[in-house]
Amino acid sequence: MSDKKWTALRPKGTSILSGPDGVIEADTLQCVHCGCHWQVQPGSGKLRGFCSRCNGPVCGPQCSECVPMERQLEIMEGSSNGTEVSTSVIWTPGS
Amino acid sequence: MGRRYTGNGTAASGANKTCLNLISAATIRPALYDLVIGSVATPADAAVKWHVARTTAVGTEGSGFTPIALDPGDPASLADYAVAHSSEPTYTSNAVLLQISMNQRNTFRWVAAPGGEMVAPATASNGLGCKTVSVSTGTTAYEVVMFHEE
Repeated sequence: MSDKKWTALRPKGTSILSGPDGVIEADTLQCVHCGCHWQVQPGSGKLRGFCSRCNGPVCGPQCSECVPMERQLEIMEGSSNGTEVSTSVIWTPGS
Repeated sequence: MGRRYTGNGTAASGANKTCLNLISAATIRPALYDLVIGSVATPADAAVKWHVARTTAVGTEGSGFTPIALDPGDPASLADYAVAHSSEPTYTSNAVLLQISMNQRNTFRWVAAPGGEMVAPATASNGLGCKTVSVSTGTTAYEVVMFHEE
């Protein structure tokens, strides 16, 4: 039986872990900067943020500079450089 | 929606052992939208930490896996899959896109919501690798299935 307790209003993914002890479902959120996913886990103690420029969640202090995911992909592809970044993140613990 | 493809691979687990690597191409950005991890080995208790992370070099693959188009009318995939590496791909530090810790008895699935895909850059030999970072015991073989669109 599904036990989806960890949810988000606008999830970017869903993870399902099934095994002998049952099924654990959780929504995942995606960092608007680096593109990583993490399971929504209230009370985890991990510091997450919200970028008011990108209007989306940020995975942690290492992504505090506002370099949107599209821009990061362009940097990886060599079609853009990594200069001219700014910070516009509001931090929210444990989400 | 882009064209959709799937690939899978089986490989022994261990410290930093890649099971399946989605390799990008210079002309497209493959987007991983579905991932399944499981093992058909004899059930046993072993804790395994998995990473899905960005790669910048393909390493040496034990075998390739030609992506299968979900729509048989689609052309061959521009991206590619690599399995069971003898030389590991080069992973970008601090570019872990998904981390999972699970028991060998578990099966894990992650599905992206529309717009939540993990996107690889349109750069040859770059990609997204799925590897075991650490295993508590043994070298149990795992299967990884990926679905991507491009």
